[in-house]
Parts: sequence; C-alpha cells; structure tokens
Amino acid sequence: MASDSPIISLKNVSKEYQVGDFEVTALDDVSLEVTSGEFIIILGPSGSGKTTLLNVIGGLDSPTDGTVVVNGNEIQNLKDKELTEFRRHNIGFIFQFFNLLPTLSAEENIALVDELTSDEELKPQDMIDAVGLLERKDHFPSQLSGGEQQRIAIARALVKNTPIMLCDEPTGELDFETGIKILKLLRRLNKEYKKTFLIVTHNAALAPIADRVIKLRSGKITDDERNENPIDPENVSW
Amino acid sequence: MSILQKKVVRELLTHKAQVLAVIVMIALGVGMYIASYDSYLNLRASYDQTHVTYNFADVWLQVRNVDQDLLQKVKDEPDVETVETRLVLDLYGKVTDTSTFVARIVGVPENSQPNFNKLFFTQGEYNLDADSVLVENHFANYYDLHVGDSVRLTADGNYKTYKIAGTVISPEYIWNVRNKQEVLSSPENFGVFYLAQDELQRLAGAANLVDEIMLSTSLADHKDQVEALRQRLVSLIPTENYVDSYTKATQPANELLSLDLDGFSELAFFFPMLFLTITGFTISIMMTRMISQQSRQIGVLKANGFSKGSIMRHYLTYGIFIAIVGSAGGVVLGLLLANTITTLYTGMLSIPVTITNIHPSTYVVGVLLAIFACLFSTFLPARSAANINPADSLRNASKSSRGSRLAIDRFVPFVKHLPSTLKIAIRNIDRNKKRSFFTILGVMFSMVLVLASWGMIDAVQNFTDRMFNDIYKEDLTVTFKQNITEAEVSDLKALEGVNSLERGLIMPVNLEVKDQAYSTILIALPQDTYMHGFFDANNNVLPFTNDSLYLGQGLKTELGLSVGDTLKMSLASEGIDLPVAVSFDSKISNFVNEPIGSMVYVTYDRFQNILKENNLPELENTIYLKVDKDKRADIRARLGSWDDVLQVQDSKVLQDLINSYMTFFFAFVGVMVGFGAIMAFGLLFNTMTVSILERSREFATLRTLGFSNGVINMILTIENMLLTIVAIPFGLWLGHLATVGAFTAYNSDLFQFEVVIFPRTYIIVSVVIIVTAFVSQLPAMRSIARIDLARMIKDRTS
Repeated sequence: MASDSPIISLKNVSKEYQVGDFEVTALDDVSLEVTSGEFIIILGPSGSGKTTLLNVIGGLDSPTDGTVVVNGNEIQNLKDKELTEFRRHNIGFIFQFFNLLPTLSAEENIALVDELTSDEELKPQDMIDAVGLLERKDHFPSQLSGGEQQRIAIARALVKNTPIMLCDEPTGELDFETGIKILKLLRRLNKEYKKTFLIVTHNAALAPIADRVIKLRSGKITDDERNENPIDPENVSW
Repeated sequence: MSILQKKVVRELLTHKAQVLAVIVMIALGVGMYIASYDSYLNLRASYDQTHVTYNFADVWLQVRNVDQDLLQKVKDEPDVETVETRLVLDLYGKVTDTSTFVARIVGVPENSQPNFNKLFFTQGEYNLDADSVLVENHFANYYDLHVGDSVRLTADGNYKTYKIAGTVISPEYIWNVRNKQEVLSSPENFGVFYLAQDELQRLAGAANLVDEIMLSTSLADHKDQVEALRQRLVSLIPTENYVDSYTKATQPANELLSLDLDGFSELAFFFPMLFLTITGFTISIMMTRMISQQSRQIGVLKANGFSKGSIMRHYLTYGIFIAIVGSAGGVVLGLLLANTITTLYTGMLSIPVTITNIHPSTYVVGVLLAIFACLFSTFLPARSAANINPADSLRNASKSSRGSRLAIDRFVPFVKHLPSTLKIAIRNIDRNKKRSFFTILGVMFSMVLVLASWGMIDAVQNFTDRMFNDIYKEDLTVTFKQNITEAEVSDLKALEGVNSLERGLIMPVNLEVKDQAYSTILIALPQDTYMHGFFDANNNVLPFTNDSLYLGQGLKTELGLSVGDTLKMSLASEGIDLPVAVSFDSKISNFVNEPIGSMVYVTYDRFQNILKENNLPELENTIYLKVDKDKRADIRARLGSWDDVLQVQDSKVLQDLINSYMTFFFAFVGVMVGFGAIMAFGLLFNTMTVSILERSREFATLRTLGFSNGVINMILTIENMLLTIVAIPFGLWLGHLATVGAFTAYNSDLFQFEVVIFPRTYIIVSVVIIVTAFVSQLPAMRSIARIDLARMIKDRTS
C-alpha cells in the first residue's frame, strides 16, 4: 500500500536532445508526483519519452528545464559526484536487455552492487533466493535463459535496498510466460520490500496490474489514472 | 578479491592472447632497457676501474728533448700530483719478410711496471732485457704471436730481433689507434711494443725521440679543469719543442671508446623507449576498444552508483597488471642478458677489467618506465570510460550513428558499383573511422619497430659501401718511409697485376682556425683523382681542382666552420713521417661528406707549390694502386718486402677491420631487429584481433543471414589489407625518422653516419608486414568461424 508522502516530484520538466542537426524534445513540461510504495506503469509508444523520464528520475540524465526532487534530493542541482551517491543509495535499475556483466557469475553480478552499498539488511544470497535462482548462482549470464538473466538483474537492483526501482521494459525481451513471472516477482517485491516501482512499457496489456498508470505521448503526460483494484499479473495476457 | 578485481582477472583471461602479446612487448621493452642500460653502466664501470687499476694518466705532454728545468716546472704547477716521463717512438718492424708495419715503441722500466698506464699480461710476465719486448694484444693476436716468438724492429733499416717476453693489454691502446685521425689502424700495419727504456734509446739512435710526460692531477674528476691544466702546462713548453698533448678525455683510444660507449648508451635508451612507447600505444588501442565494447557495462555500473573514480581505477588496474607482469618478465630477461652483453663487449675489446654489477636503480627505473607506459596508455581510455554518460551508453546511442551517407560513397562514386564483398570492406573502413585509424597506426608502428633497427644495419652497410666504393676507391695504399723515387714508381708500374696508380702524400697537420686547434691528416691527391671521390653534404660530386681545399664535414660542426674561413695549417712531421715543418694559410672551399675522420684535402700540385714557395723540396710518400683481384695478395707481399715501403694498406683488410669492430654493433642491433619483429607481430596481432573480434555480433548476424565464413574472411582480409597498404608509406617514413633518431648519437667529428635505408629493405619490410598482418588476422577469423550463433544471438549480457 502506498504511503502519502511524495518520494518523486517533477515540476515542469523538459528534456531536449540534439540529434545531428535536429533538436528533439523528449520530455515536454512534465509534472508528476509519486508517493512511496507505489507500483506505477508508464505506458507509451516508442519515442514517447518513457526511458528519458526514467533516466531523469534516476539521475542518469539531467532535465533541460524544471525541477526533479527524488527522495528529498533536488537532482537537477546535483553535481556529478553527488549524482553518483544519489543513484547508489536511492535508485535500483532494471533494464530491458538485463545488462549483466558477462564475466561475472549470477551471484557475483549481485554482489558487485552489494559491495558498493555495503547494505547489511539484504544479502546477495538472499536476493538470489528471492528471485528463485539460488541453485544457479554460480552460472554465468551466457549459461542462463533470458528470464533467468532478468531475475538476476532484478536481484541486483534489489540488493542495494534502495527505495525506488526503475524498470525499463523489463519484459520487453522475454516470452509471455517468463514476462508474467517477472511481473509477478516485481509485484511481490513491491509489496514485500515496500519499494516504489516505476515500470516503463509500451505493452498496454500490463496496465491493469499497476496501482497507477501514466500515459506518455510525444514527451507529454496524456493520462494519469489510479487503479484501485490492480489485478494479479497471472491474469494478464497479450 | 573484490568483485571488480575478479572482473579484471576474468577479462584478462578472456583476452589472454592479446594480453599475453602486450605483456611480452612490455617484458621485451623493460628487459632491453635493463640489459642495455645496466650493460652500459657496467661497461663504464669496467673502463673506470681499468683506469684506476692500471693507473691511467690524466694528462700527456709530448715534447722534444725534455730538460730537468721543464720537468720541474711541470711538477711545480698547482694541482699536479705525480709526474713520469718515458720515450715514445714510431719505428718500423717486421714479423715476416713480406710485411712491414709501423711499430709504436714505448719505453718502460726493465723489471717493474711503469707508474702510469700499467700493463695487463695476457701471456708471459714483466721481465725485460735488451733483447726482449712486450707486444700489445691486438698485434699479437693478429699475427698469432706468443711468448718465445720474435719480432724485428728498426730505426735505420738494420733490423734487430727481439724475443717476445709477454703479450699485454694497455689502457692506452684498448682501441688500436695510432692517433685520433687514424681511427682504423689495422693491426696488420700498426702495433705497439714495449722495450726497456735504455734499449729504446739505443735502438732509436739519432732518431727524433719524443719524451712523453704523463701526470696525474687532483682535478681528475673535473674534465674542464683538467683541460685547463693541460693548457697551462702546454704554455710552459717552448713552442719549438712542443709536439702534442691530450687529457684523459681526449686520449685517442679513450676518446674513441667513450664515443662508442656514448653511442651505445643512447641506443640503450632509444630503443627501449621506442619499444615501450609503441607498446603503450598498443595497450591504448586494446583498452580503447575494450571500453568501447563495455560501454553498456560501464553505463550499468554508473547507473548503480559506481563513481567516476572507481571506474577509472578499475580500468587502470588492467594497465597496472600488464605493467607488473610484463616488467617482472623484463627484470628476468634483463638479469639474464645484462651480464652477457657486458662480458661480450669487454671480451671483444679486451678490456682487462669486467664489472658485472646489478644496479637496482636500473631495475627500478625499468619497472617504473613500464608502469608509466602502461598507466599513461591506459589513462586516457580509463578517463573516457569514467566520463561515459550512462544514459547514452544504456540507450546505445552512438555519436556516429546519425545515418548520414558515408564519405567514401560521396567522394568515390564508383564504390557502389563494386562487387559486394569489396564494397562492404571499403565501407567498413569508412564506417568506423576510429577503428580504421587505429589499424593504420598499428601497422605504421609495427613498421617502425622493425625499420628503426634494420635501418641502422643498412646505414652501417651504406657507411662501408660509400667508404670503399665511392670515396676510397684504391685497392692498396702504399706509404713509403722516404720520398718516392722515379725508379720506385717505375718498379711499381711494372709489377704484374698493377692496373693503375696515383701519386700522393699523407701527412699529419695541425689546423688553427678561430682560436681553435685541431690535429688531423692532410692528404694531397692529383687533380681530378680517380682514386678518391669527393661529395658535398647532399652527396653531389665535387670537382677536385687546384683551388680546392676540402675539409671533412665533421669539422664544420665540431669547429663551427664555414666555406671561406681561413685555416692556418702547420705540417710538423715526427718520427717516421717525412721531416718537414711548414705553415700556410688557405681558405676552405667546401666540406666533404665522408664517413670516417675529418681530413684535409688539397691537390698534389697545389701542395708542391706551397712547398716550393717555402723553399722546401718536393714531397711525396704515398702511392694509390688499383690491382687485379687475383694478384692483390701477391702484390701486397712483394711491396711489403721493399725496404723503403713503410706500410701497405689493403682497403679490403680495412673493410674487414670495420666489420670486426661492428660485430658487437650488428649483434646488438640484430637483437633489436629480433625484438622489434616479435613486438611488431604482437602489435599487429592485437590490432587485427581487436578490429575483428569487436564485431563478433555483426559477423554472427551475417552468418545467420547466410554469409559463408569464406565471404566474411574475404571481407575482413580486403579491409585489413587495404588499411595495411594505406599505412605502409607512413610507416616507412616514420621508420626512417626513427632510424635518424637512433643514429644521432653516433655522429661526431670522427664518424659520420648517413641514414640510408636501402630500397630492398623498404620492400622486404613492407612485404613482411603485409604477410604478418595477414597471418595476424587468422586466429581472430578462426574464432569468428567458431562462433556459437545461437548463443551470440541469445546473449543479452552487456
């Protein structure tokens, strides 16, 4: 259940890119508030600005205009070093392409991030257990299926014990069955660990599982709906 | 071990062939530095200790008729410590009936070592009487003389036979030179002998004896102050009695050894630096490409909160690892080679003391150089890794992926009409300009590695070719004890096998110009001589006329001279040279480009005119001969038996002598060529492997689409060979520059090396590089052929 205090707050945020001779507006005057513990799905077609929105919230990109406050950090004013600290302690990323380090085993991929934060509460072994891959902890990414790789990526994001999890198309590379399993896992972790989840996807079928659905088009929020009765991911199909 | 350190280890293992290649390159660079620089220090120490052990004098003064008064003045001069005198005289000698040689005879005590320049016995012992002699080692070795053998010496033609009591090495004659200008005194024609002082006095009779005053000074450690002392001492000697003087630094053998050692020290630094620089470049390419491949991984790390510093440290660790492992190998290599090089060198030059110390500072510097090279070459890639924008790298945005038309298609329209394999290969070059640029640089530097050292061998080869084919064209140079008579010229002409001859003169001369003095040799030759070639600095032929006064190019820089400067030349021959004393002024008409020595050349007629103007009789003491090949030895033997012939110098013997002096140089440079070739292979292997393997996914896709391995290999080969061919001219140019750099140290007033790389070398190196580049890509191609397509396509790791 979400608490009332906003953990993420965006006011009039714009982000423009220079691509060759053209200027592209990825975010156009976006304002948004997210309260702690929410499980949000951000929907939008390709090029709508979903990933940019995540990157701005996660401190990977800085906005061209507007203010972004995440967990009390006004991140558009943070210097590079402060942004690193911010990401280290506030944000867990889950990517579409998993982005595991190929030369590290499953457990080591998780421990790598754990070494960074030295969080005593969550242990790599526990996290790998939490995603159901304890028996495959010594396998390298190339020895794991796509779904398994994504579960390791989720455990890696989780082990930092950060309040916010940003997921960029987490099921985009997975088959239907595996996608459902991952969504169930994310939902379970949201409830179990009380993390705020922002999941970006172009797949509208996923919307019913979220507490809240934000729709993006051409860099603007076109819709922001609360879902009082989110359904179990098991019941989703596409 | 932290997880990131595990990542380093596993990635090094993943790229083990490339990593091993750069580790070997670092090991060779460091090993070469340690071996050559430690050898240099050991050689320097061996010289210095030889000087200490055998009490090498600090100053020599050659004076006619030293009297007690002058000796006392020398002893009383401030800073003079110990003084000793001796007689020195150049006479004639014979070992067999058919060869006369110049015998430098040095007077020594009968039964005890002299105070200065003590002798090291390789055979026999110190026990001289009126009938025995000690023979310097170069001569003894050349004629295979042993204790109990005999030599004949004479001042006036009446030879006396002396029994050899010992063969010796002297610190004064470690390099067998008669004087500074005769850099190449063949032991066939010049030897040093030690007679009891009284016996020398008796043998010389009325000959013009030179007393040599040798002394030590408290200023010995300060070269400039010793030189100042020499000048003060010279001012004490009446001009008419003064012959010559030098300090320890300018003593002919020591100066030549120092020049040789300085050249060696420059090479000892130049090659390792060159090799380490290029290795650094190789590491830089490897790291740059690795970081480019891992940009998504870096994005993930940064997204998860890894700082710039931790990412930079992570990638610098690769450099540190390579530096540590490579320099450890280098240290072992250095340890093994340093003593061998020192011992070979001192053995070759017969230096009596060989010091083979280990200098920890050399090892420390070697390791630091490796660390510096590795860290410096890793620093920029690591910094670029630290500065990667995580959002860009995760988005997989590349600045080059704007989708514009390739330049090659815009500027070379026919590309689109080419067969597809060729088209893809050419477009690949344009598509990733950075990768193409790195490949070109890799090939260029590979060529530098080989050419820099091979070029030195060519330059030395050119040195002797020019010397004996273009400049000194005679086969035999016959020097007479006295003025040559017309009968002797007729007899020479009549010798079977003599094709042509020229008459000339060779004499010592002292030059005075711009308040500087320089002792050299004056050579008078017929106008338009065909026994000697004259070339200016640009190798243009210079006409030799009665207005010509040519000086060796080395003097131009040594004395700061220009064409038109007026020289004062003084002939003041001593001992066995023709007795003449005359001074005259003349303007320099040009400088001649000659590889050895800095001689003065005038025409024979002009010289005779000068003598006539000074009321002196005509002089000629040298005949240059061109002879039939098969009669050469016979003519030499017959001339050697003529009483009036002082020496017969065979240009072939001189050439062999140069080659024997160059043995160590060739061996050293040969090792450099070998090291350079191994490193060039390592560099090319890395360049090609990186270029191919970073496109594994792309090639996997092509194969999935149905392209055969053969077609893919063809595309890669065309691409790599095109880049190699583009790189070759630049590599040749850069290699030439590197050879010039390597030779700078060797040029002096005595040696002029012209950097010439033969066309055949350019061709061989180019072909070898093309073949090596081709072979270097094969392992990576094989690896592409073995790609697990399913896995590569499934693989979604960073």
